Parts: sequence; C-alpha cells; structure tokens
Amino acid sequence: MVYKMRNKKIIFGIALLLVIFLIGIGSAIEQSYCCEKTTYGAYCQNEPLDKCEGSINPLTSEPYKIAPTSCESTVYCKLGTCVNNQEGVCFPNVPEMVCVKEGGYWEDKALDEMPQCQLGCCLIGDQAAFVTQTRCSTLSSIYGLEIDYRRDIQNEIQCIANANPGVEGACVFEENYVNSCKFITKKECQAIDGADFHEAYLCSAESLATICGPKGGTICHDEKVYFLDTCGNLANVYDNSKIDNSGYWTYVQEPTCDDGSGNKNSRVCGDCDYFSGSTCKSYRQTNSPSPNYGDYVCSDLDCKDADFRAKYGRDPNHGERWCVTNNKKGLNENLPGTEHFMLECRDGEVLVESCSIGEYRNKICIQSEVNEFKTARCSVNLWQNCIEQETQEDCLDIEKRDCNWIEGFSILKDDDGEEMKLENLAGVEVKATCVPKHSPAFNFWEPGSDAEILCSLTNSICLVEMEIGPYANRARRLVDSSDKIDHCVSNCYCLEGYTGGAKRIYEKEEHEFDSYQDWISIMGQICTSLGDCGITTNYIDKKGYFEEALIEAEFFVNPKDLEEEYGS
Amino acid sequence: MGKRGQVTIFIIIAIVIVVIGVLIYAFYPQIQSLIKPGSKNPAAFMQTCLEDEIEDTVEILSLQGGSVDPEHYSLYQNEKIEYLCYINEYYLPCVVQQPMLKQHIESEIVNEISPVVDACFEDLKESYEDQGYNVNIETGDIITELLPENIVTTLTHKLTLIRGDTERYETFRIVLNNNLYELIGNANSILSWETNYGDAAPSTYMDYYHDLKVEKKKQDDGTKIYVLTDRNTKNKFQFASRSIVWPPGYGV
Repeated sequence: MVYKMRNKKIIFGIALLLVIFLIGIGSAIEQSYCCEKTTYGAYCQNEPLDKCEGSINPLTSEPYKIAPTSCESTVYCKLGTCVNNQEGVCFPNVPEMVCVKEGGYWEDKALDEMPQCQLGCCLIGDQAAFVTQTRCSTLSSIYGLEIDYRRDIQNEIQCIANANPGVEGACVFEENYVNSCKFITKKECQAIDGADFHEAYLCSAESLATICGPKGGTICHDEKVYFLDTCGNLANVYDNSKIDNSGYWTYVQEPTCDDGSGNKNSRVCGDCDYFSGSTCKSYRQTNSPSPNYGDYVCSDLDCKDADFRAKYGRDPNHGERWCVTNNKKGLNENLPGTEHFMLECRDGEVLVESCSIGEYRNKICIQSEVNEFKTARCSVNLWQNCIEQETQEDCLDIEKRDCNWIEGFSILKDDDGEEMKLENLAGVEVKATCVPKHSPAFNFWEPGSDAEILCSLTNSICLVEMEIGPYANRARRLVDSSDKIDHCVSNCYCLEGYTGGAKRIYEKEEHEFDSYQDWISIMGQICTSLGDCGITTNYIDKKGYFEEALIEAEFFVNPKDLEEEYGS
Repeated sequence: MGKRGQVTIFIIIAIVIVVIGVLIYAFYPQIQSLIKPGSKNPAAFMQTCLEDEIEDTVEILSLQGGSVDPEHYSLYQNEKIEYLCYINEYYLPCVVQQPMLKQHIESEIVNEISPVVDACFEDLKESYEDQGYNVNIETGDIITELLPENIVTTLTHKLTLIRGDTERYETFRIVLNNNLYELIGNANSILSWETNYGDAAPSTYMDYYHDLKVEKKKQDDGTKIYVLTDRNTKNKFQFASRSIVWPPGYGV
C-alpha cells in the first residue's frame, strides 16, 4: 500500500526548462529583423518587421535598410569605433551611419585597435588629464596653455600624480614706483620684466619690503580656507592661532591646526578636507558658525537622515553609502515587490540610487563597513546558475555566484527522475539544493512569464509506504493510522502530524526530515529562495495566492495502479 | 546770503548738471548706447535680442538629452529625455545613438535660433532706419560653440550703417555663461562606461569632480536617466541610456 502525496503541478526540472529556453530563442530569431532605424527613432535594433522604419534616410536618399537577420550580421549596422576628431573623443559600439551623420570618422575596428583612441597623460599647465592626444591638443587650444603629452603613463591615477603645479613663491616687481608682489609660479614670474622670484616666500613677508602686508581677509582655494595678504595674494591656510605670527606670513607652510576630521565648522582652522567631510564655504551661505576671522569656514558636508539615525544611532557621514529596501523586514528578505536602493550622503544631501528597479533583483545592494563607516554598491545578483550546482563547494563559490546550500531535498533529478544526491563540504552525498542567496523577482503577473516554471521546480512527489495492521479498515486508513491498524514504513515525514520519535521504529531507513513541519519548512525555504514563489507575504506584508502548502494525497492499495498513473 | 541768492545757486547747479548730461549723451557713445540700446551699438542690441532665446534653447536641450525635439526618448518627470545609448534587448551593451554630442547640440542651437537671428537683424535694421541710417545687412553664418564655462554664438553677418559716415560690423558674438561643455564631457564619459559595462557609478564622478552632482534614476524598463548638475551654477544636463538589462527570471 502506498500513499502518494504531491503538489498539484509536477515539473521535470531542468530538462523542461532547457526545452522552453531553446524554443524561446528559436522563435525570437525567426521574427527578428535588423532595422537601420526603428519607428520609435532608435538606430540599429533587432525588432519585428512592423517596428522597422521604412521612410527615406535623408543621408542616403534611400529607404532605411531592413534585413531579416541580426544587426550583427549586417553591413549597415555593423558596430565599430566612432572618432570625434574635433574633440578627440572615441566611442565603441557605433554604427557607421550614426557616426558619420554628424561628421564623425568611423572604422570597423575595436576601440583599442585605433591608435588615435589610445589614452595618455596630458599635462597641461598645472593640471593633468588622462585623454587621447587629439583631446590634449584641443584642451591646449581652448585654455591657451602648453602641453606635454606622455604616452608612457598608462593610468589615470599615475597621470594625476604627475600634475605639476610648479614651484610657487613671491614674485616682486616694481609698479608705479613701489614694490608690488604677486604670489605665482616661477614660470609666471619669469614672464614679468624685471621681477624677482622668491621661492616659498609669501608676498606678506616683511623682508621683501613690498606694499603687501598680512591680514587681508580669507578666501576659498582648493577647497580650503586661505589667508589673503593686503594685496589679495594667497597666503597660508587659515589658522587663527597664527594670525599674528610673522613667520606664518613670511614662508609657505603646511597648516598644523588640523583636528583629524576635516575641521568641520571650526572657527579657528581652515584646513578643510573633502574626503573627511568638509569644504570651504562662506559661513553666510551655510548654517556654519562665523569664524574668528574672515568669512569662510570648513563647512560640514555630513547629512541628517532620520532613518539612518534610527537604525545606526547617528547621522550619516559625507561619502557614506548604505543599502535600504522598501520592505520592512530588511535587506535579507527578498519578498515579492522588494526593491533594493543604495543611499549616499554627499555634500549634505542624501542621494538615492535604485539598484533593482527594472532589473527584477538581478541587481541588488550589497553593504559592508570599515570602522563603522558604511559603504555599499549596486551589484549584479549572480543567482542564475545556482540550481545547476552539484557540489556545496561550487554552490558557495562567491567569486562565481551568490547562492545558499539547503539540505533535505534536491531539485536536480537523475535519469530515473529520482532526487540527485549532491556532495556537501564534508564529501558526503546528500539530498540538497543550491538556491539563490538573494531571491530574484519574477514578472508573474504577465502572460508568458517563466515564473510558474521556475517556482514549480520545488514541486515534488513523496511516496509514503504504509503497512496495514490486522484490524485495518479501508475507510479508516486515511483518518486513523494508529499502530494497531497500520503504520508508516518510509517517507513518513510527508504525513501531517508526523513528529518522528516512536514511529521511527517501523521505518525502513533514516531520512532527512525529523517531522512533517521540518519537511514543509525546508521545501518552503527552497521554494521562496528560487524567486517570487511559494507561501509568502509581499513587501507590504500582503498575503499571496497561497496561504498553506498545496498538498494533494492519493491512496493506492495496489502499486501497479500507481505505476499506471505516474510510471515506474 | 538771502533766499534769492540760494535759489540762484540752485538754478546754476541745475543748469550745470543738465549741460553735463547733454554733453555726456552727445559725446560718449558707450553711455548713449546703454541708455538707448541699438542706436549706436549693434553688438549690444544683438546680445540683448538673442541671449534669452539662446538661454531658453540651452535649457531645453540640457533637460532633454541634447535635442530640442527628441525622437527616441524616455519620459521622466514629464520630460522627454533622449536616449544617447540604447539597446532594446536583454543582456547586450547599448548601441551609441549620439556619438557626436557636442556637435549635435551646437547644430540644434543654431537651428533653433536661426529664425530669431533673422528677426533680430530685421529689428536692428528698422531701429537704425528710424534714426535715419541707410542700413545694409549681408546674411552670414551662425556658428555656435560650446566652450569651457561659455556658449559662444558667432554671427558672421555683415552690417553697414551709413549716415554721413559709414560704419561696418562684420561679426557679432553672443556669449552665455554656461557649463554645458563640462557636463557633456562627463556625459560622454558615462556613455563610454555604459557601452563597455552597461553601467556607470555616480560616486566615482563625484569623487573626482567635487562640484558635480551625478544622479542615476532607474526606470521600470531598465532605462537609466542620468542627471548631471553643476553644484555652483546649477546648470544641468540629463540623458537616458539602456544597456545590459537583465530580464525577469531566466528571460525565456
């Protein structure tokens, strides 16, 4: 005698999935045309014929081209590199027509095969930019500065490090019969007739005997607060304790007033630091307190955020990034409708970036922290090949995928349709399933979505074998399974009310589940991990279609009846 | 001094002020042109006549991805935002739709202001003819250039004013303070990332350029709207891109 318990829909796992996947691709290719222009205005897209534009292309005076093939295979939509010779900018992935219609130069080559698109370090004035040589020349003509283009520098960081601001100092020259002074570079000073350059001196230096003196106010420069001399030249960084220190008005010096956290809202120190969360601003334009001298302070760039404060007990710092979702149960619960967002505190404002909207949780937010400073990123959710994994080691390989390992039931089936045993980390073969760590979203409300197929992977048939006792009554078998009448000998966990223990004495073999609840729980976990499946509430705590596991039981006295209906 | 003496002094002062005013008006063209634009300064007349039009056009272009009338766009906050890079399929990187963005915007500005330029020259002509000038205008080109911190429109129209003397004006430059050039540079860089990796990280740009705010707004169809704002000038440029979009489920 055998009980057959099953969910209503039975799917043969991966095999069926692959068949459908292939059908999908096949039909898409059959219907697709390469439209040089679509009716909605995009260039070079694969679309059904009715979406291809058939009007005249003003560039060629011929109709826009259409071919029953993929754009990749056509000449007119072949993608190459477009060079904007005027600006020195190169773009890959551009069709020829799109490039030349506004005067670009196109070649059927990848960007890295185009010599004019190779990047180098453009040293221009005291600045540096990692650009093409043409771009460097363009910048030179725009700013009227000499350039030094260095091909040997091959990355942006190294390039910026090579920017040479030049040695600055006091440039003293006679003007209207008095000694005037400008704080400039040596090169700039040499361009002034009869000027003397005093390296690392400030114009306010008494020994230079110029008309410029100390205490000419303050100004924002390079995001810090600087003293000005009375001629309006830059002096050292604002340090109120040195306002009357003649040495501080004589030589270029590094500030020593730094409090280590950007001197936010400090009345006495102008050594601001953007990456520590401060920058120079007029105190009148911010809520900062007025400085002891001048109008400028290191304005605080940190943010105010009530949700962040409630969760972490403080406000977010400038530059901090963190994850939030629209579901109240948190980031780890990817309930249907859940979206991931990355928030960032930047310049006193919390910016929001959606990671998952429009991407069905194929992108998610990942958060980490260093010394309580939170950082986050929108990251690709690599869930797609979790269920194919046959070992726990492969399943948990975080370099390749984002999966979890659940033991007790295997979605994968062998050739006989039996649950496949997979190898766990201890090398033992067990029934297990590798499931997505962050369950993806499905468009289950749309006809033709594959949600039903994916969700039904956890459907299973559980064959419960019973031995009938001498007093058994056929009509009572389903309602009373006391030991005297009949007892379960295999897969008993599929019977509601089974709690293990005493009944195990009849059972033929050990199994993965200690109780019916255990079985239901594991199956539910696997089911909801696969995506928007199973018994769950959605992101606003609304219940779904199913409130309990759909279990259908059939009773077979003769195993042959079972084989007739479901095969061997 | 009696009351009569005081009145006399006031009258003399008043006369002196009036005489000085008349002399300034008569002999200083710059001052005269400030009071009566167009009568002696055609360049100022054209700047005044065109700058609002250029400013409005630039604002529209900036909010719509560089086109006055976007053909292929994503609707975001009731704005039609042009796709500068687009692919309708899943998994694939986008096809660049506007690789010559700077030139495209420049030509859009020219197209948009052309009729207004003609109208401004007509107004200028009428204004001078009313003052008794014989006016000749030779139509030239309209060239708009996006430059760092400026948008410069040059009109190569030739204007000849004859009233006794002959005055010739050969070019007119209308300068608008605007950071569109810098914003487009950043937009191009973001587009490069979109074509290569299907995405760009706003934080990276803001770490490099502290005066730049970059926002990325994702839409339900996988489209991203990038909004670039200069924090100092509040100039803005926004555009749409759809690249390497993941489908729901396995995307069968």
